[in-house]
Amino acid sequence: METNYQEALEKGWAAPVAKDTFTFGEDGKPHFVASKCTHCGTAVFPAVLRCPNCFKADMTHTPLATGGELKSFTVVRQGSPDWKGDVPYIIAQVTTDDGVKILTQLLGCAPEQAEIGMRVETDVRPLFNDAEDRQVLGPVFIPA
Amino acid sequence: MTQVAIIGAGMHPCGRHPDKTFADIAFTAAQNALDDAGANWTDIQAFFASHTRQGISAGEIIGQEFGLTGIPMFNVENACASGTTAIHMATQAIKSGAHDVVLVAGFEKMQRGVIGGIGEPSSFGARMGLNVMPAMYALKAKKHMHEFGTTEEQMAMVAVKNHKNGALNPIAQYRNEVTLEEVMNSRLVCDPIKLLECCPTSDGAAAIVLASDKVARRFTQKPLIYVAGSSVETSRYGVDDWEASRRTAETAYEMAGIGAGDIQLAECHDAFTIGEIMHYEELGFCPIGEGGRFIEEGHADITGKLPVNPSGGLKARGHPLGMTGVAQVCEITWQMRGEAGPRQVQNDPKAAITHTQGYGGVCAVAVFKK
Repeated sequence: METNYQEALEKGWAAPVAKDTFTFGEDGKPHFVASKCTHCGTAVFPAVLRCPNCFKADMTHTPLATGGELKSFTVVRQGSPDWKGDVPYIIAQVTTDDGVKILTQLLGCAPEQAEIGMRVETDVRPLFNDAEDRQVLGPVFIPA
Repeated sequence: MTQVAIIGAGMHPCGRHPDKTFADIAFTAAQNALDDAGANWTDIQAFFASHTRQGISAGEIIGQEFGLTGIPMFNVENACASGTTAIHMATQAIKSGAHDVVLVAGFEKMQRGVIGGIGEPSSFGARMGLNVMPAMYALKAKKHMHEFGTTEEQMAMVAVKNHKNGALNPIAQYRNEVTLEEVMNSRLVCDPIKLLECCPTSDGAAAIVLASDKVARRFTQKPLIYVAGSSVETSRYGVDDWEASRRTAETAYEMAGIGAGDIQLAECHDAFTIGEIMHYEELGFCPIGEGGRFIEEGHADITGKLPVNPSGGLKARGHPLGMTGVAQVCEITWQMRGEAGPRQVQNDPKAAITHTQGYGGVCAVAVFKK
């Protein structure tokens, strides 16, 4: 699946939800991409121009660990009027195994199965179709 | 040093007002505040207009209805904290010596449903469907339940209390009481937040007239309520959910020369019921984690030791975004003067606090003394 999405993105059949938010490893596994400070090592997602910890501006992109723990979640049953995808969907706060806090969607998980403390892993999934009817792909978590 | 007193407060009722413009409702609130102060528009030396989505120079449009006096006018947008922010800026303007009499009006006409258009549209958060206000509070609620054992019933009690208060407030959008069962059985919006735990979208306006202590008594013989401290702050990196409101409140307490233990009345940001529970803790009314117990034990009732949101709060009075921080101060003023009628608190408060917070991590607090 991941390889197909990688190819779809490369050939322009699909579009990323936002630039520089995810990448595929050599093994084809998807990773969230964070900004990492070359001075203090702080990593944050999504990417920022300056380090929120030491305020220096030398940030590089770094792929994150694919595993993490669910810290909080909610099932959105009535979303923003701007949202083009399906409801309900789960918004999740996850801390990755390398310690980065991420707010994204948790997919492939029934609402009643979600539980604080559960193990999750990174995936890339279609969210909705854009104006050109391309699938818009975003980095999400799924149950591990 | 110059002291800043509230000399007038006025509102336009909250609700749905499709037949009126934002200028209509704001004008009414401002005129009511001027009348309450015994002041005229020509006494006003600066005008701070708080709103989030009413368009370019909405403040000037209202000012022009009153007349072209040439005074400075400022439009203040700071999400749900806009009103408290405008009051903070107006207070500073008087303390600086620039002006002696200032009008603050907060107003908004809103669309129905969950608020959209939050954040940069091309951003990750917006495109991923993450910028959903009830969801942001729901994430905090789940965490609070997990860490401290706060229950869904305790959260629902906030809605029950605030509807009970709103039923006594003639300017409230919802003047009906609700039962715990009705709140618990209302549909889920973002688990565990239910429909009757969400503030409504609303049309409404509120205004206050502030004056330096040098001139305040030229206008009114009513009790003077002083803005003893105020602060607007934003979130920091890597801290707990409650840190920004706690820090902002501590700044305002210090300015006022009091502590949380002196507060006898509060209007806080109950946009969603978990918010009010967390604000008890953040503003220092109880230890972190004990907000659920605070509502359950009745301390926040009108008859309690520290009444919170006697107006009905955002939940029942309504939450026209730009209005809220100003409406909170109207309520504090009426309560501290003893003019709040059937919802009058019984503890004759000497010190009170108002608190709003909003998207982008902004917190705004003001502390009042009689």
